Amino acid sequence: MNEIELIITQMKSLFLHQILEVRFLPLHETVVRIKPTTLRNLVAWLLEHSGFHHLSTITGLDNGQQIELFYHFWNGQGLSLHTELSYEFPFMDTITDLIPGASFYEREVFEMLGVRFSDSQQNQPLLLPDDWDGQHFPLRAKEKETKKQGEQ
Amino acid sequence: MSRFTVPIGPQHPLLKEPLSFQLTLEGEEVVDSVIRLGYVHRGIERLSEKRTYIQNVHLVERVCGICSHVHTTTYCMGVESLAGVTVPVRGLYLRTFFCELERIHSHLLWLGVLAKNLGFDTVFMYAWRDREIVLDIMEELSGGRVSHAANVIGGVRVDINDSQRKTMTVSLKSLSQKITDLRNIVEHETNFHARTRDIGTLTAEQIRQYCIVGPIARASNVDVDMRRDVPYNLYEKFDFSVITRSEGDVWARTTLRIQEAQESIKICLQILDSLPPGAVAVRAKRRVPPGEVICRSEAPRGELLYYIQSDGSDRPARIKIRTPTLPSLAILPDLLRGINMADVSAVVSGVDLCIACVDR
Repeated sequence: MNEIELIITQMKSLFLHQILEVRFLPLHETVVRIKPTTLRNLVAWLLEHSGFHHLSTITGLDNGQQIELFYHFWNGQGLSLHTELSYEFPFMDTITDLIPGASFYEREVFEMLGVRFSDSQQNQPLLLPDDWDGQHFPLRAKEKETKKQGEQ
Repeated sequence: MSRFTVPIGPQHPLLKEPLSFQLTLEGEEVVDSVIRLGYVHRGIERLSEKRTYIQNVHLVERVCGICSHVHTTTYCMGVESLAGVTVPVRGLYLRTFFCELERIHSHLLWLGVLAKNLGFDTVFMYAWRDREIVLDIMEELSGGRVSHAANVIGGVRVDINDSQRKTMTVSLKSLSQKITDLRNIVEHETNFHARTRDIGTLTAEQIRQYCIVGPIARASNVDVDMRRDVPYNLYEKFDFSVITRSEGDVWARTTLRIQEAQESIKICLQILDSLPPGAVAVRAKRRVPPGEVICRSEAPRGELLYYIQSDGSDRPARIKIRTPTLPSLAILPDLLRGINMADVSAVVSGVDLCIACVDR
């Protein structure tokens, strides 16, 4: 059993019903789909009990039904935590107290997809202009659809 | 003592790209700083969803004007992995050749900018003069000094003939001597020491907390390099050292980058010496099967990550680009706090910001 399989086995035993799926991708990458409520605890566990302390980034995407977040960790090989949030409740616990470097990643996810983090400091724009209304999130599927109709 | 605020940027001689700092000073000491980004935000991630995989090669090349080739390399690696395309060995050698030329170009450019901001114009001019050797090689091979369009999905569109191999070997050996001279200046010039020693120091713990990568991390003794840790582009075939230093200050980052440029020349010479024969590219299909891929590489400033999701069409469903400099910006307020106003230029230059990469 290699290192990543060992970590996933430990994660499954500790966070039994919170781990929904494990996907092995090419290029030494693994994605673990989890329930959003367990993300903060799982990150804390990863930092304390595994070498996965480097958070490369947070990817956010809107698949048309819900908002997906990927927390990409790395320790010689990649481990990404994948979770899904509903449009009705796009809220997520911040991890900036565990990983201060996550601050700009969370702010980008907030402004691009409208995911609100438990630390209000994170709910500020990072890249969008000063006159942004705070209501239209550029990477939301609905926003893209509106833009497409406008272009036509 | 009363406090006052000094705005730096978005247009300022210290900054080569638009970025805004609001520095709060107490006398000469910086007590607080606020950073504002987004002046060159082009929405490239969103735009990439409207372009085909082939068009996106040229789009992602424009994320950055310095490390343009590594963006296309990482993107193409991801798409090739999704599409099940195997790049010919000669194509991979040439990709690596461009990646390393780009690293030398980026490090020399940065050295010039740092020297200029410190008022050391001689080093600025020497570094940028020497950088021309690399730009000339890239121009001869691809036609472009900065945007090379060397990569295609399935390989590269450039090739090297025997005559070019010989002249490029001579050029790179002369560049190696010039970089050694630059290193001597940086290591022995007392004024340079005075402006960079114990300035902007980062500990390994801060590097870890802020997820900082690349030369800044290695200058603080964090031994990480994607070329060695997750070998791609046949890096495992080449003999090179991952340089680390323990000081963690601007001086350490300077000498480390100069040493890294030397290592890159070493890799380039090995490539020119052992370039295998064969095709440089294979044809790839326009449509990519459904799936997702996470692809990492070592850009001149550190770890570059592409997350690509495919829905089976000829356009990606989502491309996320993680550039190396964003976390370095997050720690700048901590780095600037408590320093003298005169050292701001050294600290800001020392982290080698790439605003176009950050903003995307």
